[in-house]
Amino acid sequence: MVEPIFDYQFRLILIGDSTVGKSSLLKFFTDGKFAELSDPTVGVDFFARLMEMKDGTQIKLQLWDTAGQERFRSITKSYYRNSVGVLLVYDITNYASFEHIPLWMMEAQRHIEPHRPVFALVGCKLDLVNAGGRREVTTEEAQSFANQNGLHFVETSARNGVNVEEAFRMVTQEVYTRIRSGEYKVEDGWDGIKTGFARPNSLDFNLVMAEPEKSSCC
Amino acid sequence: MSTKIDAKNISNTASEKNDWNQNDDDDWDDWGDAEENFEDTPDSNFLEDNVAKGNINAENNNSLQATKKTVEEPTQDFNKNKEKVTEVRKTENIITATTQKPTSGWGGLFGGVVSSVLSTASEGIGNITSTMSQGLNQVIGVPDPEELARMQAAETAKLHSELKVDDNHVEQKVLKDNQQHRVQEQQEGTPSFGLNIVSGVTTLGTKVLNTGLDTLEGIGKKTMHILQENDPLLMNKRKLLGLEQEKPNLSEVLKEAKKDADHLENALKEMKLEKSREMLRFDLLFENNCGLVHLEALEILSKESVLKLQKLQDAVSGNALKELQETITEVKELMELEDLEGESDGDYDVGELNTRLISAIEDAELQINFDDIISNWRQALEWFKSAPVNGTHDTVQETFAKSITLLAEACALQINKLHKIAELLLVKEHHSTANEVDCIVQLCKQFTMHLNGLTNRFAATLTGIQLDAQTETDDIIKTRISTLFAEMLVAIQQIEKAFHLFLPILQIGAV
Repeated sequence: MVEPIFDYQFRLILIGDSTVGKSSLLKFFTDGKFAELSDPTVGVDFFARLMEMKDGTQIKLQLWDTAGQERFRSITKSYYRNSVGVLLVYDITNYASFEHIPLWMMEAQRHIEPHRPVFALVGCKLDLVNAGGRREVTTEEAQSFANQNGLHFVETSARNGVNVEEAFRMVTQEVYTRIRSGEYKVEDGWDGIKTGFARPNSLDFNLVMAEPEKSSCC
Repeated sequence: MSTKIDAKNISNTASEKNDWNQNDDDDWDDWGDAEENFEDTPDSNFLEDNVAKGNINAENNNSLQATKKTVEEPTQDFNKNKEKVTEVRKTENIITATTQKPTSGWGGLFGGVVSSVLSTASEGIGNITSTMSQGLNQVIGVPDPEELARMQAAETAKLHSELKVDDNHVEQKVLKDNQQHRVQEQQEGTPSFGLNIVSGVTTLGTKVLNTGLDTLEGIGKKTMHILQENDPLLMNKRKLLGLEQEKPNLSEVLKEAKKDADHLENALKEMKLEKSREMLRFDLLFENNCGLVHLEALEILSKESVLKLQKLQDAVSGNALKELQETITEVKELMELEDLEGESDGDYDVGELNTRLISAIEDAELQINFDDIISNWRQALEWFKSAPVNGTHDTVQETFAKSITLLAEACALQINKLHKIAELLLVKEHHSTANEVDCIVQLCKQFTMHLNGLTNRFAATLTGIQLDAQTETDDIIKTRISTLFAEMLVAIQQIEKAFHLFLPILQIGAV
């Protein structure tokens, strides 16, 4: 359960071919668990987690896990617009999923315009490669694609949790930095960034606030 | 030659520096010099500054002209040149002097801050000391009044002799009988000690002493007064003091401290409880279960469908448009035909609920199951099995917490399901709109009925709780139940909202 106390809410979206591991990545990130089997996502699913920035700012991440299946493509596009961060997810052991990344990126850019989201390139299933499996996408190739397009890049494993936290942290940190620099703002009619509930400042404040509440419900 | 150029450069920079408005722009870089000018008033400073500035201007101009001259006249005059250099140095000196000046603003600012800090601090200390002296009054027993009197007398004598010496030293011609008179007075117990005589000479010290003693005397008198109330001879108090000296008082203090700590702890506990109670709100729990975001996503799909419908209507004309509009209206009428509200006592098991939900949706031909909603209901039924029959205030609170949590979860799962159904309808190839509309209506009806049933079952459990202590507890149950029903209405509203969002989605399937 996410505490209702946070300073900002960022909406991040995960896109990429089906079965690359978007849902598993999110499952590990929010639950710390890896599911051996999982049903293909229908439309979109949601996850949430709180993340603390270096300066103590609490960020609630609302994570939109889109279906990779072709048949849902028409509706998942509708969900792009209100995102401030996009994780482009591919499978390290599946070259086709990496080949489609530029298409996914263009789609996202087109739908999120005029907003300019933070993009990150995330390779999944690193554990399969480390266990002697066949790697189809080299780190160098992915890294150079990321450099060319100004993307953050990381290779992860949802099975053992390698770099999962980092993948989300680098996007969140970048969004937060852009808020601090004034590049991003909270806007009406756009849900990419929202401000959270105010944090009570002091003990006294809490006690004062508690009084009327008590009398009304006891 | 190089010296000349240097000199020119320096003088140039100097004059440049000088052109800045020093009063405004240079304030900030004088931080380190603030102490030097701490007591300067800003006005005098400003004046000084202006004067200094004028000087520099004059001097600088001179030096500039002079350097120019030297450049024009290639014949070297070292002495002159040297003069110029010194002149420039002078200007620099003056500049540094002026830059140091306009700083009392900072000083003033600091002074203000410091004094305010000090005053706050001393206020705090004042509070502490007063508390402490109160504590001391409770702790330290008052000495025997006789002894007190004796001590006082001794002190008075001592003080007086001191004063006498003082007087002799300073005022040689004071009348002796006058002094004697005062001594008499004091020995009789007058507490003023005749300090007035010397007040002209030893001002501060005596003043402090005087007030201090006066206060002490005041306290002493007051204490005696209180002690002698109902006990003129102080017999009881003396007994008390004699038997139990400082020991019981110390424990009393400890008790007091513990009481304070307990009080604070209770306040903190109360706060935590308050917080957890605040968490027990439908809207928060609904959001935490992703109900709100599913509703939002459904809204996105709904809006998108409205846009598509609009585009379609714009694209066609004549009979085609008429037909299109007829279909759209038809769907709308179908949707509005039935009322969503339904009552239920919640008296059904998981299998029954599952059958009802499945049969409601089956004509829409979607691959959908209700496992999560069923599991939520199973949890509720398990809870009812071991539902508390009697208990305390906490039991009521616990039951209420369970009910609101399960209600919010059930509602969030239902919204989730409706969102999924909308997505599946939108990607479906072939539509049978009449069936689809009927399915959505039936399902939403089942959903609201289930929310109603769940709430009724919990309300029944709450009503059934026999409380141990019958003090104002009936009210607690009543308020909890009415809160629960209010939250149920909010939950049903969410389902209704979702239902209305379905309209364009079903319409776009029909056309």
